[in-house]
Amino acid sequence: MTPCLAHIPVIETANLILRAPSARLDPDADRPGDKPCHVYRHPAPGAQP
Amino acid sequence: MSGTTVHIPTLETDRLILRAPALSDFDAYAAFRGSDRTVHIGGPDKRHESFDKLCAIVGHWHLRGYGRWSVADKATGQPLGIVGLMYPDDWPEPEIAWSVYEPAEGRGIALEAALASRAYAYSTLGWTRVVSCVSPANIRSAALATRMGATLERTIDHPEIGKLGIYLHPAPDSMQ
Repeated sequence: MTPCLAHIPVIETANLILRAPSARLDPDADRPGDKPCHVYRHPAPGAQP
Repeated sequence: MSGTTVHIPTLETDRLILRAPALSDFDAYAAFRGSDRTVHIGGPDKRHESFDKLCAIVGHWHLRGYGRWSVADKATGQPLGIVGLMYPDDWPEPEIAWSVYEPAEGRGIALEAALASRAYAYSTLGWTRVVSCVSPANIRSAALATRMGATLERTIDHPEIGKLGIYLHPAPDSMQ
């Protein structure tokens, strides 16, 4: 049986690196809890923003 | 594009497959986490809390390099529990942990999977010491630890869970 290989990609912007979280570098993430939230729908890939 | 690849191995025993947790395991996991069967391990949990915990089980493999598997029936594929190695931030040291769902109760599933996990810790990871942390009220888990040859080494006070018995497993060189 084959093992699971989960790939977390890295994305670079002008000022940022978006990468896999690290136990050594990252603080705990904030948790939103159970509060109500609004749902914002993003434009579809082909739509003009 | 570069990135990080997380490797979760698969183990096989006589009756079981220990594999990476999958989304298809979630209903069984959430039913377990939402039941009174989790009173000794921080539950019961709401369904969204269970999802966080299943994600954390997967993420632990990335952060620590080892973790817990979803235990599935080799013949049917049915998810039977979560067993393996874990070391949360607030834990005294790495442990072998086990949880089995109700259909797996009383069939030796936890023992079979926990023994495979311990063998992996010793033979693949090279660990020379491993414990299991068990609430004193969790009689069945304490009995399983004892059945694996582990002995109660000490008791700690966990700030959230309360008292935890630390059962030390036999060292690998004592099991030759």
